[in-house]
Parts: sequence; structure tokens; C-alpha cells
Amino acid sequence: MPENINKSKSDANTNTIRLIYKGLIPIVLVLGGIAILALRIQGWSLFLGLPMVVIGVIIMIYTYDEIAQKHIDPFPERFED
Amino acid sequence: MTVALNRFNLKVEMNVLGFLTRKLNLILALLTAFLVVLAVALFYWTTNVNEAVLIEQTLHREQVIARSGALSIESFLKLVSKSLLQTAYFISEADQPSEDILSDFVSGWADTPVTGTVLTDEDGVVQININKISKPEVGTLLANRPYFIWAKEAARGKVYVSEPIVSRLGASKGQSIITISTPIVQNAGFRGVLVVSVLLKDLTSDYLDPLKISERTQVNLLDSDGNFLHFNYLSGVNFPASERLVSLLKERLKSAKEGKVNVTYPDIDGTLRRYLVAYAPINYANKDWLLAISTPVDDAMAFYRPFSKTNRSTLAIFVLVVLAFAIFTIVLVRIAQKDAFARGYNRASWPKKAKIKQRR
Repeated sequence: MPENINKSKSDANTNTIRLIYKGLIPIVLVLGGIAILALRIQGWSLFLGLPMVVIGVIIMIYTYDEIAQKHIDPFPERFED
Repeated sequence: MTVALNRFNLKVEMNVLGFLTRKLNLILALLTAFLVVLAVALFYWTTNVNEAVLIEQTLHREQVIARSGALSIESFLKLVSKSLLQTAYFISEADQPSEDILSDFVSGWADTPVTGTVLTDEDGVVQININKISKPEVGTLLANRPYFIWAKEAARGKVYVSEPIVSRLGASKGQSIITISTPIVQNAGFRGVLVVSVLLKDLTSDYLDPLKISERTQVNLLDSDGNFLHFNYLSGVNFPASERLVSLLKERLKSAKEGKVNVTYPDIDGTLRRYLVAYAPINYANKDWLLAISTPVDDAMAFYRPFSKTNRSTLAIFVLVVLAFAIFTIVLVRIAQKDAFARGYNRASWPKKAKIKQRR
């Protein structure tokens, strides 16, 4: 029994850490991209900044959709029967 | 049986909804990415246009400054020459050259780059020397000076402006000067030359240094052979202009027209820097000089910094607002899905019905 509790706690922690990473990566990408773009370094700003912002935006949308889906679950198990 | 059927329907609905959400997410992601790219393109376009306009404005400003500087020097040379001719007339009309005439001339040009005046005899020996520090050195031989050689053949009322030379006497002794000379002619005979010395250092500090737009602005004055009469000073060090600038200005000197150019050349520390250069000719007597003013682009861009900050902030705010809307839409879609499901669930006739809280 305590093993199960520990396991579920560990899973929850792993999920939280994964979620934090998933949430942070796009934010870092978008903000870093904007910063690089705003610096206007000849060539590099567009070469690095634009893909960073675009990739960050796409990842952010999918990640936050996943988070929203988990928090606002339309099909809870308890209503199936 | 009913429960199994309901489960099957539910699975189908979930798949359909999942597909729609995936598609919606894709549309949302593409739209957001497109808006972000559009914002970045707009940011770069406006920044480039603004910078180009500012560069053009700075060049125009430099052009006006160069033109006015050139006219100031030209006016100064003209006025000194007129005053010199008048003095020469008084001397040639007088039986004996008087120191008072020259003293009046020098005192009339106090607080200007004029350091003194010299009158020689027909052999080039200094007869009268009046200068600002009252050092009346006479007897110096100036016969080999270009202005004296010129004056021997020149007609009355003509003026000669010399190349920069090192002064041999008076207040400017040992310093770089330019001279303005006119012959003294009495009874159609050459009687000597009247020379005014203009301290080059004072001429440039009085007329050129105030033309600087920024600390790093370089003001250059070239003579007709492309020699620099005035180098730019930086941190008290007199350093020559770059070869690229020299060759460019020498080339432009030939046309004797004003102009402006955007050129890159190495700075004092060897780093390549883009400069905005405007130049204007100084045409007077036998001289065709060129006054050039060059300012680093970075200094011109200093005026753009407040606008640049606004542009960058606008870009950041726009991207963040677009993202906020995208995330808000995601949350809304999910809430709407849950709400629609709950509404459908509550309306359906389940064998064991449980109420789901609906959003109102």
C-alpha cells in the first residue's frame, strides 16, 4: 500500500515537472525569439529569431491545449455508467 | 445493451470532437504563426524605412552644415581680402608705408584667426611686421615664398591665397598658417607684397569644429591637390582620415560640386564603420578647397533610439497579445466542449443519470 502511494506521488511529481517543462519551453522560445528579433543583429535575428518565435507559438498552442484538456475534461470517467 | 450503445456513441463523439479540436488547433497555430511573422515583417520594414529616412535626413543636415561652413570660410577669406586690398591701396598711395595703417588692419581683425600682417620690400625683406603679440620682427627674407614669387608678376588688386605653410615670424611663428597676399604697386612698379597670415588651427576651430553633429563627427578640409588642411581631432589626437575617405574626397574634389555619400571605411581603431559624408566646395581666388563633414551612422541612429524602443515594444506587445488570444481561444473551445457535452448528457435519457454542472 505505501509503495502504491509513493508510486502515485512519484508519477504526480514527474507529470508536474513534465508540465512545467512543456509550459516553459515555448515561453522561453517565444520570449527569446522576440528578444533576438528586437536586437536586429544582421542576418542572425531573422535566421534564429523568427523560427524560434514560430516554433514557440506552435508548441505553446498545443501544450496549452493539452493543459486545458486535462483541466477541463469533457468526458469524466464517473459519468460513463 | 443501452449502456454499450451509449459508450459507442460517446467514443464516436470523442473522435469527432478530437479531430475538430486538432484541426482547430492547427488553424489556430498557423494563424498565430502567420500573425507573428506578419508583425515581424512589419517591424523590420518600418524600422528599415525609418532608418533610411533618418540617414537621408542626417545627410541632408550635414549637407546644409557643410554648405554653410564652406560659405563662412569663403566669406571670411573674401572679407580679409577686401580689407587687405584696401590697406594695400592706402600703402601704395602713401609716400612712406606707415605702421599705423597695418596696426589698424590687425586691430580690425582682432578675435579672428588673423594673426598679423607683414609688408615686404621689392626684394622680399620684411619691412613692417604687425601682429597680435606685438613682436615686430623685421628683416626676415620671404623672397622664396610662393606668394612673393606670385606677387612679382601679379597685377594690382589681385589676391593670392597660399597653401598651408609654416610661419617664419610673428605671432604664428612655427605654426601652420595660410597667407593672403596682394602686391604693392606704385607707379606701375612692384614695391613689395602685403601678406596677412591666418592661423590654420584657429580657422578650423572657429569655423569647422562648431559644425560637428556629434563627438565623433570628423570635419576635413582639403586643398585643390587633395591635401588635408585640417584633420579630424579625436581625444586630442590628430589622426589622418582613412585612405578610402581621402581617395573618395579627392575624386569628388574634381567636380567642384557639393554632394553627400554613405561610405564605409576603417575607424581610428581599425574597425570598419559606416559614415555619412557631406561635402561642399570652397572656391575663392586661386583656391578650390573642399569641406567634408562625416558622422558615423551609429551617432545618427542615436536620434532613432526612442522610436526604436517604441517599435520593439509594439512588436513584443503584439506577439504577446496574439498569443494570449490564441490561449484564450483554446481554453474557450475546451470549456465550450465540456459545456456542450454536459448539456447533451443532461438532455439524454440515461439509465442511471447523473447531473453534470453546466456553465451558464
